Amino acid sequence: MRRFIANSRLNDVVMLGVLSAVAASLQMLEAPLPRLLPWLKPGLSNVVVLFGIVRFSPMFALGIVIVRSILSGPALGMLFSPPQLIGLAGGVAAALAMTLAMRLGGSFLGLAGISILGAVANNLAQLGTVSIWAGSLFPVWFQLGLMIFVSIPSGLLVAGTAHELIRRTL
Amino acid sequence: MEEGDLGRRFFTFADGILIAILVVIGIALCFRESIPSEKLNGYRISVVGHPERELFLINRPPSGLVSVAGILGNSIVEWDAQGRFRIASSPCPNKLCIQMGWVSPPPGVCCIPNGVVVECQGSDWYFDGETK
Repeated sequence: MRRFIANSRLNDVVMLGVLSAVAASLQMLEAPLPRLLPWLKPGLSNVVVLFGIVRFSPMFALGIVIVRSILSGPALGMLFSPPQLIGLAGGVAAALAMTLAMRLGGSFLGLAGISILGAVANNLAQLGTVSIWAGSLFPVWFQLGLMIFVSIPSGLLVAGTAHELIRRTL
Repeated sequence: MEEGDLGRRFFTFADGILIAILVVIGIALCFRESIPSEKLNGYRISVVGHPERELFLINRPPSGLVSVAGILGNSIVEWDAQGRFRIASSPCPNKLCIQMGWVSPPPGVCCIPNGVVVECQGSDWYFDGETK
C-alpha cells in the first residue's frame, strides 16, 4: 500500500479512473430524472470536474471529461453519436472556462462564480456545436437567454457540492 | 488562488456581480427574442449529411404530416391549424425532440440523433439567397 501511494503517477491514474467513474455514474443517474425542460440537466458530473481542477490539475480534469464521456456513452446508448460529441464539447469548454476563471479571476471569484462561468461555457459550447452540426441557418441561439438563466442555479448547485467535497477532503 | 482558499471561499462579492451581469444579459436576450421578427415565408426540412433530402414548404402541408428519412429512420413532422409544428415520431433513443412538443415560429426544432432539422424561413433568408 505504501509503495502504491509513493508511486504518484499510478496514484493519479487510479484517481482519474475512480473520479471518471463517479462522474459517469452521476451523468447516468441524472439522465432518467424528471426535468423542467427536455434538454435541461443540472450537470452534476461537473462537480467531479471542478473538484479535479481544484485538487489535481486542469489536465487531470480534462481527462475526467474525456473518460466520463467514453464511459457514459455506451451506458446511455449514444457512443460516438452527435449527442455524445455535443456533451463532450460542453464538458471540455466547461473545464477550460473554469480553469481560466480560476487562473485569471481566482483572487476575487469564489467557487460559485467559477462554476457558473463553467456552466455558461458548457451551454455556449453545446449550442455552438448544435449550430455547426445542424447548419449555420438553424436558429439555436434563441435559447441562449434561457440557457444563461439556467446556468446560474446549475452552477451554484455544482459549486455547493464541490465546495463541500473539497472542504471534507482538505 | 490556493486550493485551501477555494475550500473556504464559496461565494464572494464578485460572484454576486457576475450573477447580476448574467441576469441582465439573459433578460436582454429573452426580450430580444420575444420581439416578432420577419414574416414567416415557409419551412425548411433538412437531414444532416443528406442535402438531397432537403425539403422546402411554403405552407403547412394539407395532411399536416410530413415523413422525413433521417439517419436512423423516419421522423414524422406534424403541423397544427395555428401553424405550430412538432416532431411527432422519431426513432431516436431518448425522444427529446418529441418531448419538446409544439413549437411556434420563428425558431425551429431538431432531432440530433436522427439528423432531422425543421426550421422556419423568414423573408430575410430569401433576400440573402436571391441577392448574394
